[in-house]
Amino acid sequence: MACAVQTGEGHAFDVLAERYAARIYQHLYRIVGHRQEAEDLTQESFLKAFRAIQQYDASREFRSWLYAIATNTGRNALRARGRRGPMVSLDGEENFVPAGTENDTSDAQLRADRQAQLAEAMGRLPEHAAALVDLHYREGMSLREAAAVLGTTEGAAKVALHRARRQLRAWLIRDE
Amino acid sequence: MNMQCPEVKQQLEEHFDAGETLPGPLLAHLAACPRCMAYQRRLEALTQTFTQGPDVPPQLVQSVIRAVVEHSPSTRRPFALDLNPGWPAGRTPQSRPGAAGNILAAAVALVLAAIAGGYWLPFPNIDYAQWARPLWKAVTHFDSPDYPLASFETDLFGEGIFEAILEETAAAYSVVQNAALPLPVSPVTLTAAITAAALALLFFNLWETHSMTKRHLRG
Repeated sequence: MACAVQTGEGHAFDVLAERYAARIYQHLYRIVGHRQEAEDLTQESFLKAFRAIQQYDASREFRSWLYAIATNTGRNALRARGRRGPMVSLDGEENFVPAGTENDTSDAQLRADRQAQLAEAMGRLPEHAAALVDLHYREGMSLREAAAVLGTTEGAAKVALHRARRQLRAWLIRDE
Repeated sequence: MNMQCPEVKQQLEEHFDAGETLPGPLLAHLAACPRCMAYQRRLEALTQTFTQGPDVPPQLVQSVIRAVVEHSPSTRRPFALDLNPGWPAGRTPQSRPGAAGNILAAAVALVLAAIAGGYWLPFPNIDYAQWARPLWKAVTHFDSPDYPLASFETDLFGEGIFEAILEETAAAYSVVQNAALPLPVSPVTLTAAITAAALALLFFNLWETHSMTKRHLRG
Protein backbone atom coordinates (compact mmCIF):
# COMPACT_ATOMS: atom_id res chain seq x y z
CA MET A 1 0.00 0.00 0.00
CA ALA A 2 2.86 2.36 0.79
CA CYS A 3 4.22 1.63 -2.67
CA ALA A 4 0.86 2.66 -4.09
CA VAL A 5 1.23 5.99 -2.29
CA GLN A 6 4.72 6.32 -3.77
CA THR A 7 3.28 5.94 -7.25
CA GLY A 8 0.65 8.57 -6.52
CA GLU A 9 -2.50 6.46 -6.29
CA GLY A 10 -5.14 8.63 -4.70
CA HIS A 11 -6.89 6.02 -2.57
CA ALA A 12 -3.74 4.54 -1.10
CA PHE A 13 -3.02 7.20 1.47
CA ASP A 14 -6.62 7.10 2.69
CA VAL A 15 -6.24 3.39 3.32
CA LEU A 16 -3.00 3.90 5.23
CA ALA A 17 -4.59 6.63 7.33
CA GLU A 18 -7.56 4.41 8.15
CA ARG A 19 -5.29 1.55 9.09
CA TYR A 20 -2.74 3.39 11.21
CA ALA A 21 -4.13 6.74 12.40
CA ALA A 22 -5.79 5.38 15.53
CA ARG A 23 -2.78 3.31 16.49
CA ILE A 24 -0.37 6.17 15.92
CA TYR A 25 -2.61 8.43 17.99
CA GLN A 26 -2.60 5.96 20.88
CA HIS A 27 1.16 5.66 20.65
CA LEU A 28 1.63 9.40 20.75
CA TYR A 29 -0.83 9.77 23.59
CA ARG A 30 1.23 7.31 25.57
CA ILE A 31 4.31 9.43 24.90
CA VAL A 32 2.98 12.96 25.42
CA GLY A 33 0.01 12.28 27.71
CA HIS A 34 -2.28 14.93 26.16
CA ARG A 35 -5.18 14.09 23.91
CA GLN A 36 -5.19 17.25 21.82
CA GLU A 37 -1.44 17.27 21.47
CA ALA A 38 -1.50 13.60 20.51
CA GLU A 39 -4.05 14.36 17.79
CA ASP A 40 -1.99 17.25 16.45
CA LEU A 41 1.15 15.14 16.49
CA THR A 42 -0.68 12.32 14.70
CA GLN A 43 -1.50 14.72 11.88
CA GLU A 44 2.07 15.97 11.86
CA SER A 45 3.44 12.44 11.75
CA PHE A 46 1.30 11.47 8.79
CA LEU A 47 2.19 14.68 7.02
CA LYS A 48 5.89 13.93 7.50
CA ALA A 49 5.38 10.39 6.31
CA PHE A 50 3.48 11.56 3.26
CA ARG A 51 6.17 14.04 2.33
CA ALA A 52 8.93 11.48 2.84
CA ILE A 53 7.12 8.57 1.23
CA GLN A 54 9.55 8.50 -1.69
CA GLN A 55 12.35 7.77 0.76
CA TYR A 56 10.56 4.78 2.23
CA ASP A 57 12.37 1.55 1.51
CA ALA A 58 9.76 -1.02 0.55
CA SER A 59 11.95 -3.83 1.85
CA ARG A 60 11.35 -2.54 5.38
CA GLU A 61 8.11 -2.98 7.25
CA PHE A 62 5.97 0.11 6.75
CA ARG A 63 4.61 -0.05 10.29
CA SER A 64 8.09 0.27 11.78
CA TRP A 65 8.94 3.16 9.48
CA LEU A 66 5.75 5.01 10.37
CA TYR A 67 6.13 4.38 14.10
CA ALA A 68 9.71 5.64 13.98
CA ILE A 69 8.49 8.88 12.44
CA ALA A 70 5.71 9.20 15.02
CA THR A 71 8.00 8.41 17.94
CA ASN A 72 10.53 11.00 16.83
CA THR A 73 7.75 13.52 16.33
CA GLY A 74 6.52 12.89 19.87
CA ARG A 75 10.00 13.13 21.31
CA ASN A 76 10.69 16.38 19.49
CA ALA A 77 7.44 17.83 20.78
CA LEU A 78 8.37 16.94 24.34
CA ARG A 79 11.78 18.50 23.95
CA ALA A 80 10.29 21.59 22.38
CA ARG A 81 8.11 22.21 25.38
CA GLY A 82 10.87 21.16 27.72
CA ARG A 83 8.93 18.78 29.87
CA ARG A 84 7.78 15.24 29.94
CA GLY A 85 4.07 14.56 30.01
CA PRO A 86 1.63 15.59 32.70
CA MET A 87 3.64 15.57 35.88
CA VAL A 88 0.74 14.66 38.13
CA SER A 89 1.51 13.02 41.42
CA LEU A 90 -0.03 9.63 41.90
CA ASP A 91 0.36 9.66 45.65
CA GLY A 92 -3.24 10.57 46.21
CA GLU A 93 -4.67 8.35 43.50
CA GLU A 94 -6.89 5.41 44.06
CA ASN A 95 -5.28 2.06 43.70
CA PHE A 96 -5.45 0.50 40.23
CA VAL A 97 -8.94 -1.02 40.11
CA PRO A 98 -8.98 -4.63 38.95
CA ALA A 99 -11.61 -5.83 36.53
CA GLY A 100 -14.80 -7.24 38.00
CA THR A 101 -14.59 -5.41 41.31
CA GLU A 102 -16.47 -2.30 40.32
CA ASN A 103 -20.03 -1.83 41.46
CA ASP A 104 -21.43 1.48 40.33
CA THR A 105 -18.82 2.46 37.78
CA SER A 106 -19.57 1.57 34.20
CA ASP A 107 -17.06 -0.43 32.22
CA ALA A 108 -16.40 2.47 29.89
CA GLN A 109 -15.76 4.85 32.75
CA LEU A 110 -13.57 2.31 34.47
CA ARG A 111 -11.58 1.79 31.33
CA ALA A 112 -11.18 5.53 30.88
CA ASP A 113 -10.04 5.89 34.47
CA ARG A 114 -7.47 3.19 34.02
CA GLN A 115 -6.19 4.77 30.85
CA ALA A 116 -5.92 8.12 32.61
CA GLN A 117 -3.98 6.57 35.45
CA LEU A 118 -1.71 4.78 33.04
CA ALA A 119 -1.17 7.98 31.04
CA GLU A 120 -0.12 9.79 34.18
CA ALA A 121 2.24 6.99 35.12
CA MET A 122 3.65 6.83 31.62
CA GLY A 123 4.29 10.54 31.85
CA ARG A 124 6.67 9.84 34.67
CA LEU A 125 8.68 7.37 32.64
CA PRO A 126 11.49 8.45 30.35
CA GLU A 127 10.02 9.06 26.89
CA HIS A 128 11.80 6.15 25.25
CA ALA A 129 10.55 3.80 27.99
CA ALA A 130 6.96 4.94 27.52
CA ALA A 131 7.26 4.44 23.79
CA LEU A 132 8.79 1.02 24.34
CA VAL A 133 6.01 -0.16 26.67
CA ASP A 134 3.41 0.97 24.16
CA LEU A 135 5.09 -0.57 21.13
CA HIS A 136 5.57 -3.89 22.88
CA TYR A 137 2.25 -4.28 24.65
CA ARG A 138 -0.36 -2.35 22.72
CA GLU A 139 1.15 -2.61 19.26
CA GLY A 140 2.41 -6.14 19.86
CA MET A 141 5.88 -5.52 18.46
CA SER A 142 8.68 -7.87 19.30
CA LEU A 143 11.53 -6.39 21.30
CA ARG A 144 13.69 -6.52 18.20
CA GLU A 145 11.22 -4.51 16.13
CA ALA A 146 10.48 -2.05 18.93
CA ALA A 147 14.20 -1.53 19.44
CA ALA A 148 14.62 -0.84 15.74
CA VAL A 149 11.85 1.75 15.85
CA LEU A 150 13.48 3.47 18.79
CA GLY A 151 16.98 3.23 17.38
CA THR A 152 18.42 1.09 20.14
CA THR A 153 19.56 -2.48 20.60
CA GLU A 154 17.36 -5.38 21.53
CA GLY A 155 19.31 -5.92 24.75
CA ALA A 156 18.95 -2.31 25.81
CA ALA A 157 15.25 -2.44 25.01
CA LYS A 158 14.83 -5.55 27.14
CA VAL A 159 16.46 -3.90 30.13
CA ALA A 160 14.47 -0.69 29.64
CA LEU A 161 11.20 -2.58 29.36
CA HIS A 162 11.92 -4.53 32.53
CA ARG A 163 12.62 -1.35 34.45
CA ALA A 164 9.56 0.36 33.03
CA ARG A 165 7.25 -2.50 34.01
CA ARG A 166 8.65 -2.58 37.50
CA GLN A 167 8.24 1.16 37.84
CA LEU A 168 4.67 1.14 36.52
CA ARG A 169 3.71 -1.64 38.89
CA ALA A 170 5.15 0.29 41.78
CA TRP A 171 3.12 3.35 40.84
CA LEU A 172 -0.13 1.72 39.79
CA ILE A 173 -0.48 -1.38 41.95
CA ARG A 174 -0.35 -0.81 45.63
CA ASP A 175 -0.11 -3.94 47.66
CA GLU A 176 -2.68 -4.20 50.41
CA MET B 1 0.33 -22.96 51.37
CA ASN B 2 3.92 -24.05 50.83
CA MET B 3 4.91 -20.85 49.01
CA GLN B 4 5.20 -17.54 50.85
CA CYS B 5 3.25 -14.51 49.60
CA PRO B 6 6.31 -12.34 48.63
CA GLU B 7 7.69 -15.21 46.61
CA VAL B 8 4.33 -15.74 44.94
CA LYS B 9 4.03 -12.08 43.99
CA GLN B 10 7.50 -12.02 42.52
CA GLN B 11 6.75 -15.11 40.46
CA LEU B 12 3.43 -13.66 39.37
CA GLU B 13 5.21 -10.58 38.06
CA GLU B 14 7.77 -12.67 36.23
CA HIS B 15 5.09 -14.77 34.61
CA PHE B 16 3.09 -11.74 33.56
CA ASP B 17 6.20 -10.11 32.14
CA ALA B 18 6.99 -13.20 30.14
CA GLY B 19 3.36 -13.70 29.11
CA GLU B 20 3.38 -17.22 30.46
CA THR B 21 0.53 -19.18 31.98
CA LEU B 22 0.69 -19.70 35.72
CA PRO B 23 2.04 -23.04 36.93
CA GLY B 24 0.11 -25.35 39.25
CA PRO B 25 1.79 -24.41 42.56
CA LEU B 26 1.10 -20.72 41.96
CA LEU B 27 -2.53 -21.41 41.09
CA ALA B 28 -2.87 -23.50 44.23
CA HIS B 29 -1.52 -20.65 46.34
CA LEU B 30 -3.84 -18.12 44.67
CA ALA B 31 -6.84 -20.33 45.32
CA ALA B 32 -6.09 -20.29 49.02
CA CYS B 33 -4.80 -16.72 49.41
CA PRO B 34 -7.26 -13.85 48.76
CA ARG B 35 -4.53 -11.24 49.13
CA CYS B 36 -2.35 -12.77 46.40
CA MET B 37 -5.42 -13.40 44.26
CA ALA B 38 -6.29 -9.69 44.45
CA TYR B 39 -2.73 -8.80 43.48
CA GLN B 40 -2.90 -11.17 40.54
CA ARG B 41 -6.14 -9.52 39.35
CA ARG B 42 -4.59 -6.08 39.54
CA LEU B 43 -1.67 -7.32 37.48
CA GLU B 44 -4.11 -8.66 34.92
CA ALA B 45 -5.98 -5.36 34.81
CA LEU B 46 -2.75 -3.41 34.35
CA THR B 47 -1.57 -5.67 31.53
CA GLN B 48 -4.96 -5.40 29.90
CA THR B 49 -4.78 -1.62 30.07
CA PHE B 50 -1.34 -1.72 28.45
CA THR B 51 -2.73 -3.60 25.50
CA GLN B 52 -5.99 -1.69 25.04
CA GLY B 53 -4.87 1.83 24.38
CA PRO B 54 -6.85 5.02 25.02
CA ASP B 55 -10.02 5.99 23.18
CA VAL B 56 -9.50 7.59 19.81
CA PRO B 57 -11.19 10.83 18.66
CA PRO B 58 -13.98 9.95 16.22
CA GLN B 59 -12.83 12.33 13.48
CA LEU B 60 -9.17 11.39 13.71
CA VAL B 61 -8.80 9.77 10.29
CA GLN B 62 -10.60 12.62 8.59
CA SER B 63 -8.47 15.22 10.36
CA VAL B 64 -5.30 13.38 9.35
CA ILE B 65 -6.31 13.27 5.70
CA ARG B 66 -7.42 16.88 5.81
CA ALA B 67 -4.09 17.94 7.31
CA VAL B 68 -2.15 16.16 4.62
CA VAL B 69 -4.31 17.57 1.84
CA GLU B 70 -4.11 21.11 3.19
CA HIS B 71 -0.42 21.23 4.01
CA SER B 72 1.17 19.14 1.35
CA PRO B 73 2.57 21.30 -1.46
CA SER B 74 2.25 18.43 -3.91
CA THR B 75 -1.50 18.23 -3.64
CA ARG B 76 -4.23 20.73 -4.28
CA ARG B 77 -7.00 21.02 -1.78
CA PRO B 78 -9.94 19.17 -3.33
CA PHE B 79 -12.96 21.29 -4.10
CA ALA B 80 -15.02 18.38 -2.77
CA LEU B 81 -13.73 19.03 0.77
CA ASP B 82 -15.29 22.46 0.73
CA LEU B 83 -18.56 21.02 -0.49
CA ASN B 84 -18.53 18.21 2.08
CA PRO B 85 -17.33 19.45 5.48
CA GLY B 86 -18.72 16.32 7.12
CA TRP B 87 -16.88 14.00 4.80
CA PRO B 88 -16.96 10.39 5.97
CA ALA B 89 -13.63 9.14 7.23
CA GLY B 90 -11.39 7.64 4.63
CA ARG B 91 -13.48 8.75 1.68
CA THR B 92 -11.75 12.03 1.08
CA PRO B 93 -10.30 12.49 -2.40
CA GLN B 94 -6.56 12.54 -2.27
CA SER B 95 -5.39 12.77 -5.82
CA ARG B 96 -5.14 16.08 -7.67
CA PRO B 97 -8.30 16.51 -9.63
CA GLY B 98 -8.43 18.11 -13.00
CA ALA B 99 -4.80 18.09 -14.10
CA ALA B 100 -5.45 16.07 -17.24
CA GLY B 101 -8.80 17.77 -17.74
CA ASN B 102 -7.25 21.22 -17.55
CA ILE B 103 -4.64 20.33 -20.13
CA LEU B 104 -7.26 18.88 -22.46
CA ALA B 105 -9.59 21.85 -22.05
CA ALA B 106 -6.74 24.31 -22.61
CA ALA B 107 -5.71 22.48 -25.77
CA VAL B 108 -9.26 22.52 -27.10
CA ALA B 109 -9.61 26.22 -26.27
CA LEU B 110 -6.31 26.96 -28.04
CA VAL B 111 -7.43 25.15 -31.19
CA LEU B 112 -10.79 26.92 -31.19
CA ALA B 113 -9.11 30.28 -30.68
CA ALA B 114 -6.69 29.61 -33.54
CA ILE B 115 -9.53 28.67 -35.86
CA ALA B 116 -11.67 31.60 -34.77
CA GLY B 117 -8.81 34.03 -35.25
CA GLY B 118 -8.06 32.72 -38.69
CA TYR B 119 -4.50 31.79 -37.74
CA TRP B 120 -4.90 28.10 -38.40
CA LEU B 121 -7.21 26.15 -40.62
CA PRO B 122 -7.70 22.51 -39.68
CA PHE B 123 -7.98 21.41 -43.36
CA PRO B 124 -5.80 23.75 -45.45
CA ASN B 125 -6.55 21.98 -48.73
CA ILE B 126 -10.21 22.87 -48.52
CA ASP B 127 -11.33 26.03 -50.27
CA TYR B 128 -13.46 27.52 -47.56
CA ALA B 129 -14.35 30.54 -49.66
CA GLN B 130 -16.33 28.47 -52.12
CA TRP B 131 -18.83 27.50 -49.43
CA ALA B 132 -19.24 30.66 -47.50
CA ARG B 133 -17.32 33.49 -46.06
CA PRO B 134 -15.43 32.22 -42.99
CA LEU B 135 -16.75 33.55 -39.75
CA TRP B 136 -13.34 34.78 -38.76
CA LYS B 137 -12.97 36.99 -41.82
CA ALA B 138 -14.78 40.10 -42.97
CA VAL B 139 -14.81 40.94 -46.70
CA THR B 140 -15.35 44.61 -47.42
CA HIS B 141 -16.19 46.08 -50.80
CA PHE B 142 -15.89 49.73 -51.64
CA ASP B 143 -15.49 51.89 -54.67
CA SER B 144 -13.28 54.96 -55.07
CA PRO B 145 -11.57 56.73 -57.99
CA ASP B 146 -8.20 55.26 -57.15
CA TYR B 147 -9.55 51.83 -56.13
CA PRO B 148 -12.54 51.07 -58.33
CA LEU B 149 -14.65 48.14 -57.20
CA ALA B 150 -12.03 47.21 -54.60
CA SER B 151 -12.42 44.69 -51.86
CA PHE B 152 -10.26 43.42 -48.98
CA GLU B 153 -10.39 41.04 -46.04
CA THR B 154 -9.87 41.67 -42.37
CA ASP B 155 -9.67 39.13 -39.54
CA LEU B 156 -10.92 39.33 -35.97
CA PHE B 157 -8.44 41.97 -34.95
CA GLY B 158 -8.57 44.09 -38.11
CA GLU B 159 -5.36 42.59 -39.34
CA GLY B 160 -4.41 39.50 -41.24
CA ILE B 161 -4.15 41.21 -44.60
CA PHE B 162 -2.24 38.72 -46.68
CA GLU B 163 -1.20 40.67 -49.74
CA ALA B 164 0.25 44.14 -50.26
CA ILE B 165 -2.45 45.16 -52.61
CA LEU B 166 -5.05 44.38 -49.97
CA GLU B 167 -3.15 46.38 -47.38
CA GLU B 168 -3.21 49.35 -49.70
CA THR B 169 -6.90 48.84 -50.33
CA ALA B 170 -7.61 48.64 -46.63
CA ALA B 171 -5.62 51.80 -45.99
CA ALA B 172 -7.52 53.56 -48.75
CA TYR B 173 -10.78 52.45 -47.25
CA SER B 174 -9.82 54.00 -43.92
CA VAL B 175 -8.97 57.29 -45.61
CA VAL B 176 -11.94 57.44 -47.93
CA GLN B 177 -14.56 56.26 -45.49
CA ASN B 178 -12.90 57.88 -42.45
CA ALA B 179 -13.75 54.78 -40.39
CA ALA B 180 -12.05 51.83 -38.80
CA LEU B 181 -11.80 48.61 -40.72
CA PRO B 182 -14.91 46.50 -40.40
CA LEU B 183 -14.38 43.41 -38.23
CA PRO B 184 -16.06 40.04 -38.69
CA VAL B 185 -17.07 39.95 -35.02
CA SER B 186 -17.77 42.91 -32.81
CA PRO B 187 -15.60 43.43 -29.73
CA VAL B 188 -18.61 42.71 -27.51
CA THR B 189 -19.22 39.40 -29.23
CA LEU B 190 -15.53 38.54 -29.05
CA THR B 191 -15.43 39.27 -25.30
CA ALA B 192 -18.54 37.17 -24.79
CA ALA B 193 -16.96 34.28 -26.68
CA ILE B 194 -13.77 34.41 -24.59
CA THR B 195 -15.84 34.57 -21.39
CA ALA B 196 -17.88 31.58 -22.52
CA ALA B 197 -14.70 29.63 -23.21
CA ALA B 198 -13.38 30.44 -19.75
CA LEU B 199 -16.66 29.38 -18.16
CA ALA B 200 -16.60 26.16 -20.17
CA LEU B 201 -13.11 25.46 -18.86
CA LEU B 202 -14.25 26.07 -15.28
CA PHE B 203 -17.33 23.92 -15.74
CA PHE B 204 -15.26 21.11 -17.19
CA ASN B 205 -12.96 21.20 -14.15
CA LEU B 206 -15.85 21.19 -11.69
CA TRP B 207 -17.57 18.38 -13.53
CA GLU B 208 -14.43 16.29 -13.37
CA THR B 209 -14.05 16.99 -9.64
CA HIS B 210 -17.65 15.96 -9.13
CA SER B 211 -17.12 12.74 -11.06
CA MET B 212 -14.02 11.97 -9.03
CA THR B 213 -15.94 12.62 -5.84
CA LYS B 214 -18.60 10.12 -6.81
CA ARG B 215 -15.97 7.54 -7.63
CA HIS B 216 -14.39 8.02 -4.19
CA LEU B 217 -17.74 7.65 -2.48
CA ARG B 218 -18.47 4.45 -4.37
CA GLY B 219 -14.96 3.14 -3.76
